[in-house]
Amino acid sequence: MGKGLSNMSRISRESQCNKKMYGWICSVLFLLIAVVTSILCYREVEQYKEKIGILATMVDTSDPLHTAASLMKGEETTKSASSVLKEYGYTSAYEDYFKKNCIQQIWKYIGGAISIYMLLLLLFYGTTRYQRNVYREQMIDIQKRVSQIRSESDEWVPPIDKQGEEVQKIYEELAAFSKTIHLMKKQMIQEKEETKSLVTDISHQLKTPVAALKTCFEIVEKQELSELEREEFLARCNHQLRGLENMLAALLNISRMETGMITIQLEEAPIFSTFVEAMNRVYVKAREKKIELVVEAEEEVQKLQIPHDPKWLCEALINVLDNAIKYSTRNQTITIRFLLRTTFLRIEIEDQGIGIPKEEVNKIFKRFYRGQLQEVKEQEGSGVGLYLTREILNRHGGTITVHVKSDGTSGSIFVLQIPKK
Amino acid sequence: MNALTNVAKSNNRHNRTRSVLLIISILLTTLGLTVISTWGYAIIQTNKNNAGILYGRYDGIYAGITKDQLHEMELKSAFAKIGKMEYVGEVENERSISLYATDQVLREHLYMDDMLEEGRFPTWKDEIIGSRAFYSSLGYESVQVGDSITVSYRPDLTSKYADKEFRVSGILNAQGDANSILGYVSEEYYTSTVAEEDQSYMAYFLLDKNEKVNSHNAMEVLKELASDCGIDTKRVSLNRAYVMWARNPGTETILVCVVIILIIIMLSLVVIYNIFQVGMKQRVWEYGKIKAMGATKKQLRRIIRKEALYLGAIGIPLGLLFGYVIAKISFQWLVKQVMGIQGNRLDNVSLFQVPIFLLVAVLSLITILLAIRKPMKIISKTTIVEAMRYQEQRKARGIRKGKKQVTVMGLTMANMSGNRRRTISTIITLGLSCVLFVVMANSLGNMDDAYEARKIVERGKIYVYLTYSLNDTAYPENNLDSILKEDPLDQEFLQQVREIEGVTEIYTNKIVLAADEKQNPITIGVLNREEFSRYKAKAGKVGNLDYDAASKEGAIIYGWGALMETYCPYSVGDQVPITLENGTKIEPNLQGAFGSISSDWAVTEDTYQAWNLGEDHIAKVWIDCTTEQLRNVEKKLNEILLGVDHVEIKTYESALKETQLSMKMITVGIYALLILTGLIGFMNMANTMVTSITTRRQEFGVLQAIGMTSKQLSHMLQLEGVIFTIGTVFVSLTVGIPLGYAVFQYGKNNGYIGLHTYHFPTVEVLCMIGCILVLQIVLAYVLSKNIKKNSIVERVRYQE
Amino acid sequence: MESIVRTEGLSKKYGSKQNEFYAISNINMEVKQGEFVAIVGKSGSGKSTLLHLLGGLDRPTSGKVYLNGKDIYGMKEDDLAIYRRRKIGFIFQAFNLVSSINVWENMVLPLGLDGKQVDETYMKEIIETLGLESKIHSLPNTLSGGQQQRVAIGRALSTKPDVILADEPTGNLDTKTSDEVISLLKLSAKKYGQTIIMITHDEDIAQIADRRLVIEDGKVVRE
Repeated sequence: MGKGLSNMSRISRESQCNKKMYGWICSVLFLLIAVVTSILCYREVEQYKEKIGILATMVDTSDPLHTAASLMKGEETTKSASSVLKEYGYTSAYEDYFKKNCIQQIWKYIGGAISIYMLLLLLFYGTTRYQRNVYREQMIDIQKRVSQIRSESDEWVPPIDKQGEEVQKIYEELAAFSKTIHLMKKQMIQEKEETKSLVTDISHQLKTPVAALKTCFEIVEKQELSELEREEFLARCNHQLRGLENMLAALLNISRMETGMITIQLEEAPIFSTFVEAMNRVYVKAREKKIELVVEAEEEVQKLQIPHDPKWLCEALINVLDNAIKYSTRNQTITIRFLLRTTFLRIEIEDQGIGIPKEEVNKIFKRFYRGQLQEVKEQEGSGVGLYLTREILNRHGGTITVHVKSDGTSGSIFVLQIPKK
Repeated sequence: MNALTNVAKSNNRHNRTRSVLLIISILLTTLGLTVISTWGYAIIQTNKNNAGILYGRYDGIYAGITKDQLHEMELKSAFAKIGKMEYVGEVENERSISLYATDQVLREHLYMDDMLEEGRFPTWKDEIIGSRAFYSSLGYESVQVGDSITVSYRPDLTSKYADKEFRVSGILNAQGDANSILGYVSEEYYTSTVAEEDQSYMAYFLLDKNEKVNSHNAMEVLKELASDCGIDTKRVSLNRAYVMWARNPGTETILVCVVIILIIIMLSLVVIYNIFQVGMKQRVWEYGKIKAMGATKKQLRRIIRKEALYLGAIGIPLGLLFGYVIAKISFQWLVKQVMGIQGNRLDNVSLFQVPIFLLVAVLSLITILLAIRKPMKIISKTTIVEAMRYQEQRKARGIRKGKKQVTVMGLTMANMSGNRRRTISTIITLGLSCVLFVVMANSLGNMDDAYEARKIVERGKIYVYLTYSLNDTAYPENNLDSILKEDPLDQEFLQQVREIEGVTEIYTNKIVLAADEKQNPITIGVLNREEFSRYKAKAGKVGNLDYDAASKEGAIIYGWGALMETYCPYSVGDQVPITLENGTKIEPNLQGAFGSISSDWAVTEDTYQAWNLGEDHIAKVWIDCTTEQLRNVEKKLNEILLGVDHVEIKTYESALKETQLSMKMITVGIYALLILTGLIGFMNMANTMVTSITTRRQEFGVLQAIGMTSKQLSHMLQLEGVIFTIGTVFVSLTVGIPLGYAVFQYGKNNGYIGLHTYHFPTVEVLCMIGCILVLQIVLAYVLSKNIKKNSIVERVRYQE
Repeated sequence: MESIVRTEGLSKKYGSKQNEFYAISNINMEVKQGEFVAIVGKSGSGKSTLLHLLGGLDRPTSGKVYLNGKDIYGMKEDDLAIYRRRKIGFIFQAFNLVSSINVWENMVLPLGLDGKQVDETYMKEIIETLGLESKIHSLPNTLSGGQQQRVAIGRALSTKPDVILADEPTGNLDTKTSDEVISLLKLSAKKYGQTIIMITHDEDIAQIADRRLVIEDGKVVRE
């Protein structure tokens, strides 16, 4: 309500402004015309005076030819023109032909000026009137369209006809607006779909280990096994269970992330501590395989604070480190480099392991994808680690890519980029 | 060699715009050079040829020489040709008629055959020829070739008149009768009737071409040769005008031509250099590729030279052709105009001179080669790698304040200020040509023909004046003293004039013959108060001139202010020793000098009266009449003055026409030159614009990719053009107007033709602005059309 | 989901009668709103041609291109230019910038051409994101390759276009700078909800995109 009122007062102020402008234009125009007319009239009078002056001089002289010649050369006329006239009886306008003409001309000028002025005013008024009408029509049209957008569900494509620059822009804004609404609707639908497919995927993925577990138990239950065999199978069940646990944990993470239950909460925190945390979590596994973890980072990186979610970023780092360790062989080195770039912090994790074949480079980040190499298949893994990592990084506004080593040695370089601000 | 030629040719074909611009520039340069040199040559040659016609084709005259002395002359190699004229005698008649004998050589020298109306000059002993006036004065009204006539003459004052019979060999037109009526007989007649020891010749001779003679040392040379032949050096006459024209190779003309040629060459050097230079930058990269393929520096230079020469091969011949045509047409027009006024026959000069064309072609070639020297150096010096990675290096500052909002106008301005050096140099180049134009327009537009004509015919409509020499040794009757003895412009004459119908006023000007310190004859003009102040008002005067003071002191005033320092041995305040014609010696005070009057000195009317010389001698008469009667008055005057020697008539009309013609010639000539330089300057600007577009083609592509419409692009180009125009006009006006005014004042003070009152040359300036604008708009239009041709992709990918 | 860019049977032919060849032939593709699509292929595979046609910089021999449902080749040249100005952002491999104006002016140039008022808050935000605060008044010739590309990105974003077309934006840059520039592009576009179509021959860079289209000999081979 208040806004409406303030709007109205603004509009009336504007129209007052307009009125003022009109007033200014009218007066300036009037002044102009008046000035021009006065100049013309003045000139007319001057010309009359000159004519009279010449006549007077001619009348007054004894040597007309000589006088005429000198007049032609530009010499001055007799100044006492009016007295000469009086002498010969040319006093009033009725007798003075030139004066009559002069006055008539002046009247013509004034009359012309007034009519021109009136005409201009009329024209001016007419055009503003016309413009205002056009404007009003356009406003009405826009109004119609807006309600159209609201009611209809389909996206509205604006017409390209030339309505004038300003109005066209309004139309385009409206189009963008309708698109946004449209998009939101679509997004909602899509999210629903995605959740559906996620649920399908998860149940799919769970089927296999559950089936394996079931078989295990059945065997242990039903079959006649030796103590050793029994122990072995139990161990296998345990293994499956743990795998299931892991997958569930990961799946839980994914689902939460995808359904928006878990949000990335950015806080300014020292990135290096997050990294150290991740290192601590994978250190044991690395030591088991006698793999050396080398860290290269400048002083400033170690003190660097960037906005990130430490918990989730830690998870992401763990995933990548985990993979690096998993797919390296004993006694190899994993190098982690921290590089400060202009907008991003660049983290390179380089291993010397089995590497990733070129064809698979784009697929490894896909959900549930597991590599085709023999070594990979042998390893444990749910295929969701890198997918999760990518999602986490995306939500941070960062990226993760893998580069095949250019010098031909084995292994891969994973490059993570996290925005510094 | 072939590969290089190919590269050069294809380079030219590829950069069509640049090639066209270059060809046009070369063409204009060659054209200008051709026209100037041809004109210079034509003027000099015509003058040489016609010096003979106008002044007589001989270097000098030895008068009163004997046959032996003649023989000596003939022996000398210095004398290439000798024509002889002999005074035969004075004919018994109330009018002054003389008989002369001439030989063929002399007649050639004096172009006497032009005077032939009928028949031929005498070759036989008994033949005679003269004009109709000659025959009628002797009583033979209608004479035919072959008739016999009797002439009574005496060979000198002491002899008695004797009748002789002659046969008419021909009739002459009245041309030769300027001063007195002449009749001619053959040389044979003379040698047969006069005793050898009495024979006295006048030798009109031409010196050998190889003689080192010019107008400065001519007199000494002639005197020396005379004494070598035993001839009295007092009887030596120099045909100064002819010697000057025939021998002096017209140094002034040549100087002017050389200066103009240098200007043209320098201008075109700059332009061609610019055009080439910028084209170079574009293709340093390409040349780098060629270098990478193994071309040596020399080969690279050769490619560039070939490119330039191929373009020259088109531009130079075209320039020669057009130049020749223009020069020929304009010169023929000039000749027609001059002939119309002077009425003389002027020999035709062939303008097609191969040596001149060769010279011009060589000059143009040199200009081109000079212009490409620096670009060649740059190319050959760039290393391969630099060339490959070449990007347009702009020496711009790194920071720019900029604006929050960007507009097309803002873009244009940014571009101009980013390339400040190029923008300014272009504006200055074109601006300077325009400055030249404005300066010239200031003077040319203010040439007042009436004013100038009035300098010649000072008052009224007709000017009648005495023509005299002061020390003509060959024809002593031309000297003022002998003329004044006759006093043709006496009171009787004035009365006759007053009686002519239509004459309204007569003004006269007196003259006094006197002698200076060294007994050299001088003329002293007499001025009344009105004339005094009129002359005083003219430019170039020296000292404090006052009529009353001069009258009181009886002071004298020198007549040529500008020459005072050189020729007058006295300075203001000195006493000038003068001997008047009646023998009185006076020493008047030198009050100062007028800018220029027609006598050597001047005194006031009062001073003249004080001298009490007796009879007045009138040297000048101005006649004013009604316009309708002008023709009639002129005719009557001619009748009155028929047969009167040493008097000439000049009408204001003809003076005006002459003045107008000279002014027209000067104006047209100078404007043509200015247009040429202006065009060359414009080529430069066109080149700048084209180049800036070429180098920015990629930028344009990107601009159009991000959404600039073609209209906006055209606007940008036009804006650039407008900025150039405004800059140019501004430069030309701010520098040109003050400079032009200064030049005008200088000219006015030095009495240059027609400069009197100053009016601002509005029309010319407006024309100039209009032309520049039009050229600009056309250029921008052509360029924007050109841009539209490429698709955006091509442009974006241009560098690749 | 509505596609923001769609092609139908798009083809482009080059050359004269004797040796004509198809740079791209019969391409049907779709890009959805908000996607970051990378078009990958070797040199000469036709990817540049495809991008230029998507942006209306060249005329196709046959086929149509729909931007936001509008057939862009049905428009007149100048209308297309205006449309480009408002709806498409371009980033080229090199020589993106106008050398006589500074960084800020380069970025707001499309707005200026359109006569639109500059939203200074928005621009400042972009500049901050791109890390160019200290370079606002600098002229392009003082910037490094990476910085120039950032400015190009800024310009592409300034008009809030529907689509950003990038032609080998990292072609002149070293690996690390390339990685960063592309990540930046993705970051900015996601922030303002724009669609990006990028062509590149660098597989590593292409990973950052959401989706990859591979082009070989003028045809889309696989996704």
